[in-house]
Amino acid sequence: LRVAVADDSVLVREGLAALLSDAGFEVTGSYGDAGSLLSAMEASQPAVALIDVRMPPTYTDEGLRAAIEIRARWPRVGVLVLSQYVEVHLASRLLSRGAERVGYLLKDRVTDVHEFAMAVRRVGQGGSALDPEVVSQLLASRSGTEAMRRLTHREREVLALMAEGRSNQAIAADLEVSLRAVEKHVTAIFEKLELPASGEDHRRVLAVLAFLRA
Amino acid sequence: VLGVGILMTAGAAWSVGMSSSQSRERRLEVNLLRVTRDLKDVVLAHGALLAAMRSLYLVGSGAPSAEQFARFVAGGRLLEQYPGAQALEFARRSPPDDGLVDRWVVEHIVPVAGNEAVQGVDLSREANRRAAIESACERDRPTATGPVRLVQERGDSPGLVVFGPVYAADVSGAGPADRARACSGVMIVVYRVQDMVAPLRVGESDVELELYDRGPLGAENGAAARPTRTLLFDSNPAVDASRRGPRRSGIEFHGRQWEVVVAAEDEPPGSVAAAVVAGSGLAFTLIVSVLVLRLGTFRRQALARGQLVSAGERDRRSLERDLHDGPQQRLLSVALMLARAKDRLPCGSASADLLSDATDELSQALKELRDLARGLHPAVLADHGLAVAVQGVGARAPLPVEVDVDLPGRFPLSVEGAAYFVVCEAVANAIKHGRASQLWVSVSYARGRLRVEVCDDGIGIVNLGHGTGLRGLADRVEALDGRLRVTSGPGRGTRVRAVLPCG
Repeated sequence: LRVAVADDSVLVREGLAALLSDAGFEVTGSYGDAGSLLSAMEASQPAVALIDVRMPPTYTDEGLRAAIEIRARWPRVGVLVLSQYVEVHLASRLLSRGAERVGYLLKDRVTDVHEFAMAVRRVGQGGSALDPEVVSQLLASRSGTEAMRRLTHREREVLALMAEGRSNQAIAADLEVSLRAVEKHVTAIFEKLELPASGEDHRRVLAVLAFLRA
Repeated sequence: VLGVGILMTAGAAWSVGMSSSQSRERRLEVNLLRVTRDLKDVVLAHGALLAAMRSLYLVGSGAPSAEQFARFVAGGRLLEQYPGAQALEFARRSPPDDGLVDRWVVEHIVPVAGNEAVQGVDLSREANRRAAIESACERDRPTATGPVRLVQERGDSPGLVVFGPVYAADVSGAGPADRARACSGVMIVVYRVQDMVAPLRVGESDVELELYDRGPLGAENGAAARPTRTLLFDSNPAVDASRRGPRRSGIEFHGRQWEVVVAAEDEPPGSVAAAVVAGSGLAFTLIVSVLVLRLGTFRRQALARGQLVSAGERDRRSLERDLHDGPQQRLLSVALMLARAKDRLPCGSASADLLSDATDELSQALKELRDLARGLHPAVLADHGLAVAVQGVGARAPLPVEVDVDLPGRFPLSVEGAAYFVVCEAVANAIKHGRASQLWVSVSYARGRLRVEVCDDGIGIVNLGHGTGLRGLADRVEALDGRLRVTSGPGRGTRVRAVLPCG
């Protein structure tokens, strides 16, 4: 999987590139700002662009805007936005065009190589990766509602992992239960929340997120 | 207006019973006219004040007895005639033969809770009051002392005391020494701005007062740069003032032109507010006087504090930036190296476990650093503005928060910082102390002011001042010339409102 890295800190950017190479990714290039990443997109053809939110010149949301631009101009390229902090509102901006090939993670997550590599791969393969902190904020805002009260504790756990963008297999591995059990939970959740059932992971994520953000 | 009539009647009744001679009465009247004319120069005196002073004279020997005064006041509803007057005193000069020249004694104080204790106080012991009294006698004109001790002792509301000399003889053309001899006492009226405004409110309706400095008298109107605006009073900062009908009135004071804009909601015709706006009300005039007197210092202080806050906010912001660019990035790159090293070691080896622990520790350090940076000046606030930051506070709260943010754009760092911390602190309070189950946060902008409101449905704060962190919040808001208002009661939830000028 070809990955481009953009981060203004040379230490972080080279560290990320090295980590990704170690994990079996092909790093097409590393860039210090959004502009050079965007202008290299055509030539380097990455499958995933890994982008830091804060980059020059204003160090505010350059990365986020670049990610949105990439999604519009190169819809086959996945974007994984990394940030020092995560906000539900910013996640919404990123997801405004759907949950396909998109990720939004706290920067610290890169220290868990296995999880991080999985997230990059997921985004590159058309899925999504939403930070657990964003998901828990979304869940908290809905916690008091009638619909959420209908869910069991286990179902809520599954819901959170679904919202992060994980597949049934990944959820099964994470919760150390059988695939069959996860599928049962998913069906129950969709029934209880009255959501339209959907086979594809990114459609499923969208349905879940739409419910959580309602 | 009704009160004036009653006052006159009461005064006339006293004059029949108590006056000693017709000629003396006439002399006093002449003197009084002069006094009040001068009083008018300073505070555009009201007819009721004339009536009050006249009545004081007519009771006889220079000063009425406490009982007489009390009856007089009760009958004439004197206080109602002086919007904002907290106390009326009459200080009488001790007879020269008691050996205590220059000793002034407070004879009477209108029964306002807490003021009785002042009765009998030797006024001359307080330097500023003594100076005001002496100035009133010597200059033969009422004197305002500006920020007043008596007022300030009773609370932190700004106030004004006006000292007016009262003579037992006609002193027109007399020198200072003769006037001092003829002076039988001093009329003292204490005003508090907030009380002066109170009568302007009609029932529960909202009133807002703004003062505009339109420059020196005689200067071309509007030729000067845009007038300086000061918000005098806002009975309900949560209500958009544009919904109230604005009325304007000009006034000249201290050689400058001033304009007061009164915006009152649902104001019935003939209300106090209407009268005040017409520019004839004593309350109105006094509000202007008090504010003009205080304005100079007030502006200087506000400016100094505002700069201090901005500087503080800038420091916090740059510290946050330093954290992000420095240690946070460096630690992250170390974490990346550790993660890679761990990946190269066989799973389950002692070294791998050690590295795993180190990575966990480092993740924790990064999280703490991130929280620290958020507390200093949240990066999200600086990067994305108040709307996103406030929505984040709502999202992180462990209970449902309805967030309604309607802002046209960005505001100064210090204003955004203060507004953000009002939301944080109020939300934290509601969760920690208020036992709330639902919160409402609204942030909006109108007419140069940012309004922040946080409400909850909790048990309400019993003791507003205690351990709620609201004091610190108020300081932060007031330092920017804003106001913080907390209303709460058992079972009624808590409402925290802040208004921050940002025009």
